[in-house]
Amino acid sequence: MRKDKMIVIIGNSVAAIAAVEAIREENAKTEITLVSSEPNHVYSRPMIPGFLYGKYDEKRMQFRDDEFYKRNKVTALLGRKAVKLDEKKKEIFLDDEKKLHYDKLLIATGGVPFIPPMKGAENDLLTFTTLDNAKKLKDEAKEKNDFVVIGAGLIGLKVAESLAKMSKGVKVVELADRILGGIADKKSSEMFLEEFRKHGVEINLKCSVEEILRKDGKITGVRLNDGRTLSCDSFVVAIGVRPNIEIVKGTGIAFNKGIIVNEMMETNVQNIYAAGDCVEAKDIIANENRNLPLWPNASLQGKVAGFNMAEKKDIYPGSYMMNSITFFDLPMISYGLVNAEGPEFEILEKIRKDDYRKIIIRNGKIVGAIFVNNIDRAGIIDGLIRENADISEFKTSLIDDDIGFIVMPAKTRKEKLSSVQVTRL
Amino acid sequence: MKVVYPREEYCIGCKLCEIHCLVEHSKSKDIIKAFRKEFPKAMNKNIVEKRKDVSFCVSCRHCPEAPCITACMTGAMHRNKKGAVVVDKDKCVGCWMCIMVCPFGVIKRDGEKIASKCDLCPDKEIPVCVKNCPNEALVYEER
Ligand SMILES: Cc1cc2nc3c(=O)[nH]c(=O)nc-3n(C[C@H](O)[C@H](O)[C@H](O)COP(=O)(O)OP(=O)(O)OC[C@H]3O[C@@H](n4cnc5c(N)ncnc54)[C@H](O)[C@@H]3O)c2cc1C
Repeated sequence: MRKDKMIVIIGNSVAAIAAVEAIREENAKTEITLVSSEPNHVYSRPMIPGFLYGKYDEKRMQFRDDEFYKRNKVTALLGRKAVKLDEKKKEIFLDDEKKLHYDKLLIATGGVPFIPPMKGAENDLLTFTTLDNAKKLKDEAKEKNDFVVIGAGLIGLKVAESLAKMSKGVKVVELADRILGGIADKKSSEMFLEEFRKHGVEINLKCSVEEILRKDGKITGVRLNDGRTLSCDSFVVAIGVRPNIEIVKGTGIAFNKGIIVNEMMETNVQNIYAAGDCVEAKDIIANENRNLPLWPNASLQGKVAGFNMAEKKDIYPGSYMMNSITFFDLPMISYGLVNAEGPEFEILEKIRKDDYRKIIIRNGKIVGAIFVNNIDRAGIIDGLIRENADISEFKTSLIDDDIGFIVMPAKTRKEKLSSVQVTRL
Repeated sequence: MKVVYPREEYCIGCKLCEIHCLVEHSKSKDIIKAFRKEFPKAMNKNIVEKRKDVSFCVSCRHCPEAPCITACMTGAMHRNKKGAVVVDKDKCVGCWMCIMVCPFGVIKRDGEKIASKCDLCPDKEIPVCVKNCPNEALVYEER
């Protein structure tokens, strides 16, 4: 009998790394083997737009040091894909036909880009979710100058921004009637639209790509559903990601859009855990389990899974949609139901020339907020959302410039300011 | 772990804590040079909040399970040997994920590019804000 349990982790991004650190915090001995289809050392996925236009090199993108695997006694099989899972025999099969036994397994396979059906699409379509994708696009940009980007969500616009900074022509195609639909409201998305137009990026709303036009195999443009054609010599598909759940298909592990987990991040199969962009976990605002593919969520979920795998019971408190983004020089932090409308919502707003703040309230609780340009102290709102705090007494002050603990009733304020920690994330 | 807590009943809102913090985090550590000659000017890491006659100073709690470390996407935000949560300036890219999740609202933007926060004054036994408060409206203790 083996004396130490064997933990296998599929994935090498933030959820996987957070799990390794949690496991090692509790247990120095357990064997850990990590498998990753990407050949790279840990790198920060949200930094690939900066890599594309040359702001960061690969070294800078490494969010843990060179010694990470060694120090944490992790056997890292990088560039190896897990292709099959046998949950009855507790075995994982790799693409080199190797087989790994596990006592506990963590699935942290993240997300994969979603590609819409388009006529003329061949396997030369560029997507933008991995370092490898960014390298390909960077190479492509050496010869090509005129790009179409499909999708005006966070990733699509990040690509567009980077290409614009590389002095490329960029035309964005978006189906919705505005940009950043998921994380911005009408007003803030207009502020960003203006920012993109100012920097020469063409944004086409309410249309989609029907066909990719080619001449002698080379891309020459795209035909839109409204009949227009846009010329380009290259294009990138970035309409979003969906959970990467390939490995659980055909097994007994339950999934909807993402893998279903309980609050310990364990799947319906004992000893198999899942965390990060591949799962559906608790959304504290929607009050249901949802896929919320965000870095901080993946990080906390990985940690909770890690603790539980190391037999220290831990509960995922849940999270919700939030983001902090900057395009060109304009930063925004947004939380929760940014587009809420209806009689049950109360909306507080402050609009200035370059500055915008909005707080969305339901039943005395904050359910959404937006800070554009002046983002200072925004996290106080996150704390109030996570605590499910009743803010009725001081709500109007939340859009004041001096937002802080000073606007809260003395008792609430003193409680918070005298405590060691108020929220976990 | 010892961190800085405010006692608002003793605070008079003089902001000496902010001034001393700024000087301690300046290049010269000299008050005149720090305020008049250094560009970019150093920043105080703490924040005095004030309305009418209520005031107090807020600074980082160095949370045992710090949300800013969990959310950091570059590995810049980390805990040093003393247990303080600090920013590695060479790693920070100014994505402001830390600002997004800090429930105390005590992480600032330094020159718009890098996260800036309380480091508990690594060269000092007692943080300068506490040491120089004329009213003991700031205490450095373990709770
Ligand atoms: C351009 C871009 C910008 C972003 N910006 C932000 C942002 O501003 N804020 C934010 O919160 N989030 C952002 N994100 C999302 C963020 O990067 C993800 O939420 C985060 O990376 C999720 O981490 P994860 O560990 O769940 O998985 P991923 O980062 O998706 O990694 C999955 C890992 O699993 C491995 N893997 C997958 N399948 C297999 C297999 N079968 N076998 C072996 N290994 C496998 C992969 O190699 C990879 O290492 C951005 C993403 C992109 C692409």
